Amino acid sequence: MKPKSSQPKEDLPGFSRAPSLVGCPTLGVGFGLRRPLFQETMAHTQLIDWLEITPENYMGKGGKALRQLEEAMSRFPLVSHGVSLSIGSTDPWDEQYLSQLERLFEHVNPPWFSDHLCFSGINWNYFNDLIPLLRTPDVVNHVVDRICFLQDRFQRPVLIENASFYLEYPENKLSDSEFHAQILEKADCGLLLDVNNVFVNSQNHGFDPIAYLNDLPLNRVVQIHTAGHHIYPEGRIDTHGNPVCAEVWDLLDYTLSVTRPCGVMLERDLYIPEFDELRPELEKIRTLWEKHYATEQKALVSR
Amino acid sequence: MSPVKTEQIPVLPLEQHQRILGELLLERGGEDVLTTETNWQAYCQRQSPEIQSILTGYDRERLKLYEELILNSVQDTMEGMFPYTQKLLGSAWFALAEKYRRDYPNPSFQLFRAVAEFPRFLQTPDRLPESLKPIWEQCPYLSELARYEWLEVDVLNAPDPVVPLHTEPGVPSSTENFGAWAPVWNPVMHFARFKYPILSIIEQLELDTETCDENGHGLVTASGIKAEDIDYETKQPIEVLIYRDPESEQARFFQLNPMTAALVGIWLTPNETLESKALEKYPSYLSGLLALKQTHLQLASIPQETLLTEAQRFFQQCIQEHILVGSRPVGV
Ligand SMILES: [Fe+2]
Repeated sequence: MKPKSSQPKEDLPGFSRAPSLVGCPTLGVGFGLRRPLFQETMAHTQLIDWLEITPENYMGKGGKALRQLEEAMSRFPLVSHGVSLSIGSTDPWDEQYLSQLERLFEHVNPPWFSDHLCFSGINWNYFNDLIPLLRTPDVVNHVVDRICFLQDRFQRPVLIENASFYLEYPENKLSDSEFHAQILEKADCGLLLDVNNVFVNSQNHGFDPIAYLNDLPLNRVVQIHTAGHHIYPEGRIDTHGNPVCAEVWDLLDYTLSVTRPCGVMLERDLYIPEFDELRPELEKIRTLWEKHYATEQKALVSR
Repeated sequence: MSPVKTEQIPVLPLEQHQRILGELLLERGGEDVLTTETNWQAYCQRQSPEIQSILTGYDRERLKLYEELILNSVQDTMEGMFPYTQKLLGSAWFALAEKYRRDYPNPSFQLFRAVAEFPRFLQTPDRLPESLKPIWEQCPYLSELARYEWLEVDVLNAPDPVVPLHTEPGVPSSTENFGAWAPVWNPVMHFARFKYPILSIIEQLELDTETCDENGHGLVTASGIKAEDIDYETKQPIEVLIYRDPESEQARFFQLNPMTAALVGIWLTPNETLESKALEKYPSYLSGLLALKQTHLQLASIPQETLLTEAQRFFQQCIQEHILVGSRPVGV
């Protein structure tokens, strides 16, 4: 594994990570592990430094899923990014989910784990989708309690991801960035910043993505997602089914200039192409990563 | 779609808000609330004044978008899991999958488990829309076909089994030891019984089969037989072992004949779930074969040594196919 240690630089907002998150290791350039590209992914330890797994694809399973997980573990550091934790739900926790996740973590030992700031089920009925939460101070408190519970139970940092949302509730009292900022600070947790989601939301809901980023506590950004989306008559949809667009690359470049994440990665879930088609995107992430980390190291040397 | 911040709009408790969303996006007893403005208005008007005042500010088309995203992800999963059922249904597949998603709650965080009830959904035509009922009549094996496909998914996703202690590889090389050893069956295996010849139906579907139209008419199998002409009543039920091969981790099947099915049935119960198999019985090879002999009169005249040798050959084949994991001493 290539060494990627670096010292935090303190004159920019996101460079000095929040105290509860300083223990998160720097991982570098990552990729979302998907079955169709499993073999190629395993073969590219030079291009990819670490992998993100979807825990639901492995929880409670044996056979090929478990064998692949073990092979991935032997080659890469793994982090866990769930889709069904349903952080904001008012249902009680799904104990089966939590205990299976616990068992998976005993095996994988990820340095942190994440899921989306949303709810994905109600009344013991899962949507299998990320449904936006009402954004009010009461909901902030509800979610903060739930995140604190998770950090306590799993004894490792929780990151929440800013999800794409296509529905604005008229009762919302907080903007999306205010909502995230309050939860992050009160729960003292980390942010998985998805720059594609920031861009998609900014276009669909008419806000400035840079202003949005600057509203967030950037010292809590631990991980960054990039992905592609589709443009439909209804708006932009976060499909993870296209190459990353130019505006999102620019936004990633900007984000890396004001944050110091542990890892940046590419997500691809739909219309998964041959691995070689994704290579330029992984290389581009590394170029940006090195550009900003190298700058920082130069700054340290000149001090 | 810019954020609205209106102090006058009441805020429901979060739980109530989420329940309303759940009802709108998932459970409406089959009612199509979101497709037209008229239906949406009618739905809103049935709510309490407070909820009504909130819902009128909601963007119906955005809700509809979520509904479609949810349906799409379920359908993608179902297509991957039920390729033959989908092929058989052709253009009717979409409506059926949508109806299933609407009618069945999804209590599992794993999408593949969400569709576990699909074969049961296909068992009776009661819940099908009128337009789909001919399919059910024309293809009475629909539910069994889906069940076969689900059992493959089930073995692929099952946790790794715990093989009983003291298990030795292979079958006793001398039938004289059959009394001292019991077979250990592959724990990730279904012993499934089907009323219809599912394997030959799948074989026909694998060839370039014409699928039916959306009303379930016109299904012609590759061998040129119209679905309605297949006389399933004359066919014997079939028994199949569907299991995960521990070497390749792939799902495999092994069709049993009436005699081998009866033999396997000494140890395994047909149509049991993987979870309930913990109660597996462990009679020895010998006592199993003697029990078989008692219930099958045609075996009475066969000398015991011949029966044991024939059975040994079958058990050895089971070892090769990874249907049997090995043997363990009786009474340990
Ligand atoms: Fe993401």
